[in-house]
Amino acid sequence: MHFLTSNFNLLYSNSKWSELTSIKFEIDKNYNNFFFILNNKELLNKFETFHIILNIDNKNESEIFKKLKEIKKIISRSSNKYFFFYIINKLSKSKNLKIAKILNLKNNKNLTIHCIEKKISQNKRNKMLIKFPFDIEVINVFNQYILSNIKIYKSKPYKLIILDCDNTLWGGVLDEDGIKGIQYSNKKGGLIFKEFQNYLKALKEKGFILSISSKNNQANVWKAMKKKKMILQKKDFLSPKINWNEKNLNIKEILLNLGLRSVDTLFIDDNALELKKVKEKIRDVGTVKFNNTNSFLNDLKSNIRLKKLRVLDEDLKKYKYYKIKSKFEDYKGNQKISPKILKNMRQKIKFININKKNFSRAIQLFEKTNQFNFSLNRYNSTDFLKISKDTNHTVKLISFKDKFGSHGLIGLYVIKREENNQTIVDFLLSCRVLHRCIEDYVIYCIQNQKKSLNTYINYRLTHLNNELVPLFLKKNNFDNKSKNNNNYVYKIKKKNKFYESKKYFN
Amino acid sequence: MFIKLKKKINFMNQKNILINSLKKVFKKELKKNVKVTSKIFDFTNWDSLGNFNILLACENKFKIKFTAKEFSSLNSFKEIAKVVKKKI
Repeated sequence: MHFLTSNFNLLYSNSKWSELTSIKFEIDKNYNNFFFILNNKELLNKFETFHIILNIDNKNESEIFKKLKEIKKIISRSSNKYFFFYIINKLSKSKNLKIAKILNLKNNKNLTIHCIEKKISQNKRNKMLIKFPFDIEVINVFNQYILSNIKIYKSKPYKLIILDCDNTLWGGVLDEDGIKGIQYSNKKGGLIFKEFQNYLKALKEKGFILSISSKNNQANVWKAMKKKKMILQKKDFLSPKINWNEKNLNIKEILLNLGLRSVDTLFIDDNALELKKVKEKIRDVGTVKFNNTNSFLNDLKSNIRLKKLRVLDEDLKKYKYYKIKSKFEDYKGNQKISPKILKNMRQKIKFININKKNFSRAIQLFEKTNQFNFSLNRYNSTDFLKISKDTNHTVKLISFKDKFGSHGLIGLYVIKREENNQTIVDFLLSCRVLHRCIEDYVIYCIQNQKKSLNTYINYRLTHLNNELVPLFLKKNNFDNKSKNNNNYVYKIKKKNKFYESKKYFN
Repeated sequence: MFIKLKKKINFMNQKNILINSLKKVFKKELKKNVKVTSKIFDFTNWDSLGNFNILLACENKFKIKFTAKEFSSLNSFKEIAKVVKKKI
C-alpha cells in the first residue's frame, strides 16, 4: 500500500485519482492524518511508500518547516519505508535547499525531493471554496510524477554495466590515433565523453559494477586512462576483458567471473553490428548504442533500470565483495573447485540474528535472489516483520568470510518449528558464493542444532529457480515427501553426507 | 403545426443528449447510476466534497465555468442540469 498526503485538500474522492487508487493508493483526507499515521506503528507498517505534496507560500512557510522537523526523526527511524516529497514553490529556489537541509537529505537515504516545475495554474475560487488552490487538471501532473516514481520504486536496477573503449569511453580509435589523438577533454569534441564518464562514476558510487569488453591492447588502454587523467581509471573496473576475442565470449566470461546473470547486465557500445551479435549470442542482455550527442546522455539518464532510489550500505560494499569474488576466480583459474582449494580458502560462516540494522538487507535478499532460492517468497517488510517476531519461526542471516576478505551478508534461512518437525520455509544464497559448500554446511548446522527433530525443506518450482536447486536436491538424495502443484516438500535424511562440508570451514 | 412538432422533438432530443452525458459524468465521479431526481446525500460518496467533484468534472466536460455562488448552491441533478444547459 502507498500513502498520498498534502497540506491542501486533495479531493480524495475525485475520479482523477482513479489511476492511483487502482494500484493500492490511499489518498489522505486530512493533513493531520499523516502525522497520526507516522506516530502509530501499526498504521505505519501498513504502507510501503509515502508521497507528500507541499504547496508553499508566504503564509504557511514557517508552519510547514516546523512540521518537517517533526517528520525528520521518524523518517530516519523507519528505514524500510520510502518518502517522496513533491514541492510546489513559486517563491525561490533557496527555500528548496532549506527543506533538503531540514530533512537531512544527505544522511537519510530513504527519501527524495522533487520540485514540480511544470506549469501549475493557480485557481483562487477553488482555493477559497474547497481549499484546493489549483485547477483540477493539475491532478494529472501529480499523477505523472507519482506514477513514474512508483515505476522506479518497483523496477529492478541493472547490476553490471559493460563498456566498450573506442568511441565510447573516449572519441576516436586508440590503436590508430594514439594516446594524443583520442578525444577526451573539456573542449567541444571531448566534452561528451568526459560527461559520460562522470555519469558512470556516479553510477559506480551508487553500487553499479563497471566492466570493459573491448577489442584493444590492454596495456595501452590503462596507459591512455592514466595519461589523459580520465575520471575512470583501472581500479574502477572489475574483471575487464581487453583483448582481440569476440565480444560475446568476453562478456560471457565476465558474467561467469562475477557470477551475475545476463538479465542484470547492460552493454554499451558504439557499433550496432557488435551490439546485434552480442544480443544474438547472449539472451536477455540489455544493450544501448552509444552516440556522441547530448540526447543520448539524457536518454540514458532517464532509463528506469539505471535509477536506484535506495542505496544501502551493502550496495556500496558490493564493489569490494565482487572484487574478492574475481580474485577467487583468478586464484582458482581454469580448474574446477576442488576440496584442496576450498580447504586453503580459510572459509568462515556466522549466523546472525535479525535486527534493525540488517533488516533492509534481508528484504533485499528476498527481492533479488532468484537462482538459489527455494521458495521464492517475495516478502514485503510488513509480512517479514511478523515472521521474524513469531516465536515458532527462526530467522537467521548468513555472513561469510574467506582469506580474501569478508563477503558480507550473503543469504538467510527461515525455519518453522512444530512439535517433532522443523521445516526450512525459506533458504536462499546469493549466487556469487555458490558451489563453495556453504549450502551443505548451512543445512548441516540446521540439522545439528536440533538433532532429534525431523527436518523438511520447502521447494517451489518456477522458471526462475529451476536449475541450481533441483541439481542440489538430486546430488544429496533428498526424499520427496509430497507434491502440491509446484510446491514440493522434501525430507532431509538423518544419515547424510553434509557433515563432510564441515572440514572446509573453520 | 408539423414544423412546431418537429422543433419540439429536436429540442427534446437535445435535452436528452445533455441529460445522458451529464449522467455519465455523475457515474464517473460517484460510480453509481443516478436518476434525474437524485440529490446530494443520496449516496454515501455524494457528500459536499463529492458535489464539488461533480461540478469540477462538469466544468471540464462542457468547458464552462461556475461562479463561486453557484458552486455552493447547486446540489441536485436537476439544478445542475439547468445551469449547465443555460451556459453551453
